[in-house]
Amino acid sequence: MRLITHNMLSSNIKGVTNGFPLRIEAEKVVEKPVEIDPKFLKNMFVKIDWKALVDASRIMGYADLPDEANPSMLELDEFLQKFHHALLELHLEEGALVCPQTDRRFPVIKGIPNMLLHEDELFLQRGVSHGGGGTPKTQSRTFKYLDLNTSLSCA
Amino acid sequence: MSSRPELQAPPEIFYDDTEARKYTSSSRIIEIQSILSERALELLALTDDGVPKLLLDIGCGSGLSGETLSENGHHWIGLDISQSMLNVAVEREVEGDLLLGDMGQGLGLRHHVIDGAISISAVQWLCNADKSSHNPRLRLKAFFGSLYRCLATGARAVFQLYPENIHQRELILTSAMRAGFSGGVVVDYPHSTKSRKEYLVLTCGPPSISTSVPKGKGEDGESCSDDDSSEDEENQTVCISDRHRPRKRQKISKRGKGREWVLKEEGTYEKQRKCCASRHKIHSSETKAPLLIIIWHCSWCSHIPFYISCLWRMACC
Repeated sequence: MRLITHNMLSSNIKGVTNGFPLRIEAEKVVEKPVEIDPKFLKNMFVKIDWKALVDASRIMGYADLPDEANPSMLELDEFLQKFHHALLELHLEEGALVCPQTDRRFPVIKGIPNMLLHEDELFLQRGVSHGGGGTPKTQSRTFKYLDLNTSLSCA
Repeated sequence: MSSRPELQAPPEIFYDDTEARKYTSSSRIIEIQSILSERALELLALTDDGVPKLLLDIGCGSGLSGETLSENGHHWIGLDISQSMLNVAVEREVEGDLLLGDMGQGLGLRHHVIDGAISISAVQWLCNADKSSHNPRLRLKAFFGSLYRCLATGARAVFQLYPENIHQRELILTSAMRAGFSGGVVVDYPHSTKSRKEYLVLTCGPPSISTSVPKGKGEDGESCSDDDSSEDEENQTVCISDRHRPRKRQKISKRGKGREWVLKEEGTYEKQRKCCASRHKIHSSETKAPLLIIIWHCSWCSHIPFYISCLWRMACC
């Protein structure tokens, strides 16, 4: 999992008001070099939560990102290179993501975070099922026939 | 021959290691998946400014659809519920990031960050309740609600889907509309049974010119690919084998047989003149209070059957 995905992910456990950013517990980090694309980086810059990216990259062992960043810095090649490296080249291979509010661990195995929630963590409770009007109707019909039969045999 | 994987097992169980491998090694499935993803990407109508976008692939499976996105230069995040499928995706070294998650639990993503979403043959799985805690309506609501929140304003989401029937289509559409999406269904090759493909094209935000639903392919029936190869046609749907789940509720669809039938039956009995003391009742459910006819064949009265016809009101019994 790259940090671009980490920057998009938030915990959606029931009752969690601010599930972003997920804390990283890094066990194994790999670097996979990819080609730099300034256009994409510029497009992404506005969407990225910078502080979360800086914190995450430091946990992953890359401390070259500046604390503050503004769009004018995107013109600098050096900055772009760092931004690109942190965003797209660092992969969290093994470890975990931890919900900042509930401390629930989402394990990351082979680079895939397991974001499956348990049933009690779901936002939506079991609701009353709708549209099941057909069932009682048929049941009542059967009962009526049953009544007919019994009354007949009694007679 | 209907063979829908949705009717066989929940997705995380159906797509096990063998099935995942089978799925990804079939050249036919790969071809269909890439055609579908191409078309979905086309329907996404991303701005053509050469800037790669961050897309979401819901139900990415082994990353077949994601590959099309990568080929077009986009970055993507894939979500799937089947660990086996994702393992295959890792082996194939897909370029996008993968998440193991259930779309029915809602997507845990930040708001307004995704430029578009595609999903190939996945959303219809949400119509199934595979666990006792599953409620398709709530799951669809959670899915579309969270998708709406994570998409940027004006972004589109295109879902290729195989709804089992009109009710499923309606259920999916209503859930999407309730979440705030505008859009509709695009049907490619509507006149063909096999190559007919449905795409749900949704746009974030209120209806405007940009949210108008594009036209489907082959709507005029001319370029229908149904004609070209009959053997290929058979294999157009991505399905594996047939196994029906037993129906829980059997619908009583038999209509009442009517007065004429009742009278005819009476006649038959008269002819046969059964001597045993049998009682035969004939229901006619045509009217609300059914006519109940009791025919007695009495052995003592030697071949003289007599009929007692009486009207029973159901409620009074």
